[in-house]
Amino acid sequence: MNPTHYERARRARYRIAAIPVVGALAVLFLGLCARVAPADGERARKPAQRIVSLAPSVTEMLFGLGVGDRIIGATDHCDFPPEAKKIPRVGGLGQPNVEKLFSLAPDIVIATDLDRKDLAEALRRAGIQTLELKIGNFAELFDAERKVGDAVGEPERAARQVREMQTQLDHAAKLYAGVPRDRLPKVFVEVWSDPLITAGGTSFLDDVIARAGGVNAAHNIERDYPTINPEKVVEWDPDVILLCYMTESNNAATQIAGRIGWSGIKAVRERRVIADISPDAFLRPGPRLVAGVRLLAARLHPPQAGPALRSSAAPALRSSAASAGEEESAGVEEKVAPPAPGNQPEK
Amino acid sequence: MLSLKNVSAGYGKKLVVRDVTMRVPEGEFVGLIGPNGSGKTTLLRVISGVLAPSEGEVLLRDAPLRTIGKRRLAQMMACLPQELASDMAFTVREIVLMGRSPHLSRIGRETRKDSEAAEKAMALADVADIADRFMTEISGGERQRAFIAMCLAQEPQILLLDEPTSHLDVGHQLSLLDLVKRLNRRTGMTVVAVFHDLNLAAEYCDRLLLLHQGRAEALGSPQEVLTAEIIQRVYQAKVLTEPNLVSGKPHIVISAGADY
Amino acid sequence: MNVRRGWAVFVVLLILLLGACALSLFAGPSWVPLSEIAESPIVRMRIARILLAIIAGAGLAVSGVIFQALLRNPLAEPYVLGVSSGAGLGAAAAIVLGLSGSGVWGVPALAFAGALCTIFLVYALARTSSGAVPVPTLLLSGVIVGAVLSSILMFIVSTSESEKLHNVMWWLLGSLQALDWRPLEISAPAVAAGLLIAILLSRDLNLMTLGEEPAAHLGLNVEQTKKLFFLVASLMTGATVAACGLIGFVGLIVPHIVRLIIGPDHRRLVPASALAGATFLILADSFARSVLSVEIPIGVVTAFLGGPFFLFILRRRTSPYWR
Repeated sequence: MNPTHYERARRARYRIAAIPVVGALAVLFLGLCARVAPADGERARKPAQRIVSLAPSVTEMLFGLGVGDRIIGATDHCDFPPEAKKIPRVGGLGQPNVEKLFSLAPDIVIATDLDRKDLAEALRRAGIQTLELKIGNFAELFDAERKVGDAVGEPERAARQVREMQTQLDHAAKLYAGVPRDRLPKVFVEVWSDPLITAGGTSFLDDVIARAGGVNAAHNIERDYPTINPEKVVEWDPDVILLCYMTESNNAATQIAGRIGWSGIKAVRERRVIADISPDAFLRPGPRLVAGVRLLAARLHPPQAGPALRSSAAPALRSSAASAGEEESAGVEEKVAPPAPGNQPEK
Repeated sequence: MLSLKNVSAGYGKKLVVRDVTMRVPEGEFVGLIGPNGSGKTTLLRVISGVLAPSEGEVLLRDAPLRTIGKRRLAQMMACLPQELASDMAFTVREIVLMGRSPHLSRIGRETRKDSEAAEKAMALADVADIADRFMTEISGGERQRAFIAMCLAQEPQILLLDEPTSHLDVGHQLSLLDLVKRLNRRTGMTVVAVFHDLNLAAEYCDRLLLLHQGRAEALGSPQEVLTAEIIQRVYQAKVLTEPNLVSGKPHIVISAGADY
Repeated sequence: MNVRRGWAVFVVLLILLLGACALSLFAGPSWVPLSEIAESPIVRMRIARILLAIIAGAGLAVSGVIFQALLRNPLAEPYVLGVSSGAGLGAAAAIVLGLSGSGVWGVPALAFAGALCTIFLVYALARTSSGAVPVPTLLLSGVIVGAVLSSILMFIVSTSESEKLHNVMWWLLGSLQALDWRPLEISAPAVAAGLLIAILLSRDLNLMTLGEEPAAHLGLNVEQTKKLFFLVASLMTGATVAACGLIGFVGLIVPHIVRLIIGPDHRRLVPASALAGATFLILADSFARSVLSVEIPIGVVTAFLGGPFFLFILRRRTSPYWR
């Protein structure tokens, strides 16, 4: 029999009434789920024992805090200190293998620049604490160190590390203490040559240069790693050129001088092209960066004993990841790369 | 002029043309006829040099075809293809001038002599009045005449045609074949043409080669080749042959089947 | 088309090219006063870039013309046969082997080598037993080889431990920066030789557009011509990619625009496209390096400028030159 008008109206009412009921159930359900997973920012009471690191700098930090043995997963690029190479791999920078990650059942995942927002969500829902760090300059680096220290239950050690790093930076600052702001050397950083890429004002390198007593030529460009017109370098006329990649030839200055239109640049004329410092010292936003700062500061502000010292200082300061790796553990130690001969001995 | 000796040809392992032998004297208008798939187009491609025979050889003026250089061959022989690619908008004159390529050196430019040859060809093919129109703008029949003019600009001694009338209306069919016949008679240009329509073949050709499953079934004048008995054998069709009321050449009279 | 109009177009194109050069000399972040032009290092840098743009623009445009004629396809362009993927792979190999960096021939040389290997691979795969290279097979072979090499490149870049390889992505985006004469040294000979051959043999290209059999009947050695032009166009493309990375749109759009104006006769189309391609790339590069404080990848600019301009031409002129 065909449904009457009243029948149909009754069914319609049921349907309409069902909506808020279903809606309420859904909200309840979601609320329960949310309760199960720890909320954002809420820290686990006990220090994390099973740690996955999704950045080489984080790995270095963890080893520096003495909890390297607690790391159960690291990225393909985590190679410092040497013990880090033995840690099982979970993927590339910011691109972890999700299954691997979950199968390791970590307490905490520490990352910088987590590209995949859905991954962060998934971790949260699964009850795995995620610590996302932003490390764009030294202030943020120290802050990150403290956060990591809290998460792994080593707050005092973290504070000590930060103090050490700050001390190293202060030592570096002494090298140019007396120099007025407008006499600080202008540094052009070349991150890549084809096309020409430099470090802009928002990059960590910019902070490194500032702490080393230089001024980043590209400071006014508000980007991390902009591609720039080589004409700009001629315009800026930097005092020093820093190459952040290893070149094959030993004579970086001559190569750069061979570039069209660059022969008149101050840095080229005075052969102040730094090409022998390992890129790792500058490109890894981590604890070893302070060593990079000291190296750079020493090169930017050699003692005024004469021009001869500038070029002879170079081989002594040839510090690569290898020699930094000779240090006992990652992070900043008392013993940094040996100061250049002729530098004032630090107090 | 043209001589085929025991020519067999095909694509890959499959032979489409088997053991065909034929002599075409200069100035003759020869028609290639036969059912679908009998190898007419394949044979024409062997004659034009595009397809190499697997057995036997083709001689052009007593020289084996494969020994004649491509340019030299194009100076002697022109071929009107069945499908005409026309997406690029050249003018009729530009297309006709392309027919002069075999007579120019690789990097040479056209000279007055070439322009004159082109003009003559266009006049012969009756496309002189549309010489500056674009190929994309003219009708199918006009396009075909333009390509005929291109072939004529080559000043060939032998012209090959592959079903030249298959997509033309009766008026254009006749005018095209009349043109070719006129050139054949007046300039002595040898013509070898593949025909689909037996009556057209009978009207215009001096001799016919009838192919059946790749073999030469009959070779001779239209009267000799187009008999009801042969047509029945080859085409499996019952027809009457009568003399054409106007020309006296054989004419195939068709009628619908008796029982349907 | 009557002869006089043909000449007029060339004169206009030449004037446009020279105008573009002049404009480009003044385009850039810094202003160079007229009096200092002769000695300014910045002007020297701009001249190097203009020369590179001319070479790349002419090479890519004529490459596009050749591929469109050979493949008889209006969508054909220089990268359709996979040469760009091979060059990219070569560049990545150079970086992995540590051969990149200032003053070393590494990246351009290996990129060019990669392009050459790709050409031979594509060609060898498309060849039939009789030595002929049918066009549809060539196209298929090129697309497949390009896709495979491209995926190998992506695989290497994404799984590599070398952070430098991420920079190959920047290289691939294309740039007309000329820090030294290397890019010019690598691309100029190939492009110049290619242009010369294409201009001299442009009538053969006309014949090819009729179809392969008609062209053969007109006396052209079709297989030999295909091989030659294929090699020439691929070499020009490979040299350009090795010197500048990938610059899209020029090889596709410029031939069409020029054809709409000057017609399909390749004896005019080839030189006109060379001039137009050079002009276009000079203008695009001037834009790419002066508008923002950073350099915009040139491929972005060519798409941005070329696309709408082409649409404009297509709609304005009811040109008889394209159906």
